This record gives sequence, structure tokens and C-alpha cells, in this order.
Amino acid sequence: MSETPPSTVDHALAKAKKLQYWHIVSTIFIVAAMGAVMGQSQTMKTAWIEDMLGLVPPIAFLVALRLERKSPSRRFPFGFDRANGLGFLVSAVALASVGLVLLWDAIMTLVAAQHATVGSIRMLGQEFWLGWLMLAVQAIAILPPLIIGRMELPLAKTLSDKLLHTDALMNKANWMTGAAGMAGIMGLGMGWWWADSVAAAIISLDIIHDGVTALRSATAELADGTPRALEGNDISEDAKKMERLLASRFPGADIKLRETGRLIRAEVHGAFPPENYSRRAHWPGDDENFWRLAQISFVPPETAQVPGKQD
Amino acid sequence: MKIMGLILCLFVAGCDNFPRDPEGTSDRIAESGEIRVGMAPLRDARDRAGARRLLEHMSHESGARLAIRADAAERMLHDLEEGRLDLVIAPFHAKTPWASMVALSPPIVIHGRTSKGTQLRAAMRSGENRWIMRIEKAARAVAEPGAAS
Repeated sequence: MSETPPSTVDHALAKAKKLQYWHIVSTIFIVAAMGAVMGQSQTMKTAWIEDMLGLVPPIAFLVALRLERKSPSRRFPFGFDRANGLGFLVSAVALASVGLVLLWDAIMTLVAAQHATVGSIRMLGQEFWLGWLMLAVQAIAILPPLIIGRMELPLAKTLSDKLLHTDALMNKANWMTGAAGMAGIMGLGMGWWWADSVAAAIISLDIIHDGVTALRSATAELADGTPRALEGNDISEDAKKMERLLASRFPGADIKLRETGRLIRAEVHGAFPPENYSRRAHWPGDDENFWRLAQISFVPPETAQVPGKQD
Repeated sequence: MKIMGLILCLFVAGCDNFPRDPEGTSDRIAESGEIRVGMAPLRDARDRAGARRLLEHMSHESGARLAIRADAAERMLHDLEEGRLDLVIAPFHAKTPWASMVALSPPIVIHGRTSKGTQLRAAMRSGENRWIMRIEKAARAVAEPGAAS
């Protein structure tokens, strides 16, 4: 990163990193436990696939974090700030895929009118309906994404980290699908064969919405779009303020902002840098977020003379 | 909270006969007093003894009479899917494709543990979870030692 981040950011990054490891470990346990009891329940199967896809954002975050810390090289002279943006795109694709897989499975099950079989299991000399075991596993399985997702949200805000925010959305998708799975299993127990799929279809629409929004924001970032807000695809407030500030200080200049990972870069076309230039003086946001403004570049008008130089 | 309360009430009210059969197999058997059984050609005396133990167990447990039809397994499995039979007893290969189309009980008799070996099992209509549980329980009770574990 160009600006040394303040210690609160370092602290948040360290905490986020630890959370991601917890996320990966808990997901592996959940995937193994659900795989053992999922039977023929479509929602359980889909929740299982979704948990596997849920591994994508934390792995992307950890890989991106490792890359970001690498120094620029001859082959990558601008460094690796954009690794976070790439991870964001990959995670957004995973999130949208989760929603689409869930919706597809639910529709196919409803169209084929598949009646899910959830039989019995013999444990400790007693016969149990496997549905009770599924409910127990699901009830435990929704806790880690519920807790980790909620812990990630404030960190994502402190770090302005859309990849981490997408992981929080993935966690939300996971616990919501888990809850839908529980409703589906209870529905199956009531003899409502369609309950499983209807619950999954409703939840999938919310996940697809989150996934598509993240995908649009990630694409905007990689296509050098104006920085987007953490939640949604609107232009971020910091970017709007900075555009206004730069436009007022350099009238007639063309102001272009873009985002590389967590950092904002500005270009002022058609103007020279002012005397006693200070980057900090051009940051309209809070001081604690100044680290995000990595660079302001000035592109003078092509026909202009460099101030102070005579022909 | 009101909605959650309503869901909980519905759930608790429905627990007395949990799980239920979407197509009402258990209720129909209780009302008609008849279990419609399909019996496929069996391999040997061990299979015949296993099938007899299961049917006796079911008849004793439910008090229902058995209406037995002997036919080719595939034809009867199609009838099972359509709800024209309640149970089909047949030898299945360990990796039978029918496993994804009907519900299979634990093995009652196992002839060899290789992929070519067969297993005597009862097949039930998919999703009839209460009925499936009853047959699974019966199959475990009458299985040859080590077969249903």
C-alpha cells in the first residue's frame, strides 16, 4: 500500500485474517457433518454445495492479503493493490453462483415433483428419524456463519474492504440457507414435500440480488469505474466528496477517480499540481481514512507550458 | 414473533405423527387394513426366509393383511412409484440405479459384498417418510446378523 495504514487498520486486518481462518476451519467441519447426514433432502444438498462455495471468499481474502504485501517488482511495477479487487470479483461470482445453484435446484425439484426421502437411523439402540439429526446438524451449522458474518461487517467498514464485505454476505447466505434447510426439513416431516424447495427458492432470490450487486461493483472496480460504496453499486460518499473538492480547486479540469482494492487513486486532467502540494489537503474524508487516498496524479493540458518555465 | 409462534404451534401440533407421508401411505394402510406387497423372483431359500420374516413382522406390527403380487421387479417398482403398491421386496445390486428413484430399506440378506453380489431389500415409494421409517425399522429387526448394520 502507498500510505502506511494507521494501527486501527492493521489491527482490523489482523482480526479479519484470524476470522477467515476460523471461517475456513468451521466450514470444513460443517461440510463433513452435513455430508454425513444430508440424505436425499435437496435443500441440505444445496446448503452443502453452498458451504463448499462459501470457502471461496475467505481463501480469496487470505491470498489477496498475502499478495498485497508483496513489494512492486519489474513484472508488477504498480504492486499488488488490485489483488483485493480480483478476490472481490472471484467472491462475487461465487456468491452469485450460490444463489443461482440454489434457485435452479429448487425449481427443478418443484417441476419434477421430487419427494425427498428422509429415512431413519439407528443410534445407541434407538431408531431416530434422520430429519431430527439433520435439524440438529443444521442448527449447529448456522451458528459459525451467523457469528463470523456479523463480526466481519464492522471490520469490512473500517477497512473499506469489499472482499471482506462479500464474505460477510456469503456468511449471511449460508446461515439463511441453513435456516431455510431447517424449515424445509420440518416441512418434509409435516408431509409437505414442496416445503424444502419453496424455502430454498425464496432465500435464493435474496442471495442472487446480493451476488449480482457485488458482481457489478467488482466489475466497476476492475474497469476503473469511480469508487463504489461498500454496500451496493452506488458511487461512494468519499468519492463524491473528493470529486467535488477537486473540481472546486481545479476548475475546468477533468476529475477521474478509481479504486484499486481498498485504495482510491485520483487523476486531475488539464491541471498542474499546486505549489506546496499536499495529498492530505485534498482528502475530504475523515483523517482516519486518509490512508485510502493512495495517489493524486496531474495530467497537464497538452498545449500548456509548465508553470515557471520560459521557452 | 407472532408468525414464529404460529409456526412453532403448527410444528408441535404436527409432532404427534412426525414424519408424515406426503401421499398418505401409512394413513391409507391404517384405513384399508391392507398392505399391497410386490414380491419379485428371489434368489434362494435365504432370500425367501428373509422376505417371509419381514412380511410376518409387518403383518404382526400393523395388524394389516397382506395383498401379495408376484411379478417382475421392474414392473412392480414402476407401480410402486405410481402408488399402486406399498412395498416391493426384491434382490438389488449394491449400486442399483433404483436407489435414486425409490427408497430402499437396509439389506435383509446379503449375497456377497462385491459389486456383483445382491442384497435383499424392501423398496418403498420415495418421500413417504413415515412408512419408510416403519419398513426400515422392520428390516433391521429381521435382517440376518450383520446384514443391516
